[in-house]
Amino acid sequence: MAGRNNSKKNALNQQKFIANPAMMPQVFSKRLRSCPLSEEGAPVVDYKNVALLKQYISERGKILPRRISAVSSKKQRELAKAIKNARVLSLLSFINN
Amino acid sequence: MALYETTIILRPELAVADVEKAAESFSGIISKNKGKVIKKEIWGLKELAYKINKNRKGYYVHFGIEGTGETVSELRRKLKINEDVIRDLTINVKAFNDNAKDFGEE
Repeated sequence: MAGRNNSKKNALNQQKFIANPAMMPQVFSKRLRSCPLSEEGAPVVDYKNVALLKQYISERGKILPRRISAVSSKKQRELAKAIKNARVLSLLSFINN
Repeated sequence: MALYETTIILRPELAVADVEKAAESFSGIISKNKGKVIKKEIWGLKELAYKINKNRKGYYVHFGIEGTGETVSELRRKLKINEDVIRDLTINVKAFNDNAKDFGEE
């Protein structure tokens, strides 16, 4: 729907933000967060640590994209593997309905 | 020699003594095939996230192994034959992570 209109609107909005950073909505500032799994003292990504993995899956049981969780690409690769291993062991489900 | 972690899920109908006996026999298979059991944990009867062969629960047994590819292939061959085993997973690890104790606390 109205894709052309939206992109025009986005371009306009972006111009506004460049001119006045204070107008930038909260959604954008969220992206600047650093990776929560790369900090010092962050937990090791492990398929056995179900409590940690559950923070990075959606309600449906899907793996959350990096743009939402702000995880670094290296850690995201580890995380995806760990979640998939945990699924094989039935620690996490493949689908949640 | 490489490090491996093996997790085995056993049928829930087994008695606790049987689970321990099975774990013993798996250790035997590992040590007979150029392997060394570094870590042996019995996580106990746990609810499965989804049904496996119509089972809702299963006994989890976890091993830390130092061995070669032969050790792993022989262990996996034996696990496939064993009818008490409903699922098994072996992965190669750089180091054992014992801090993931959050496991099971949901």
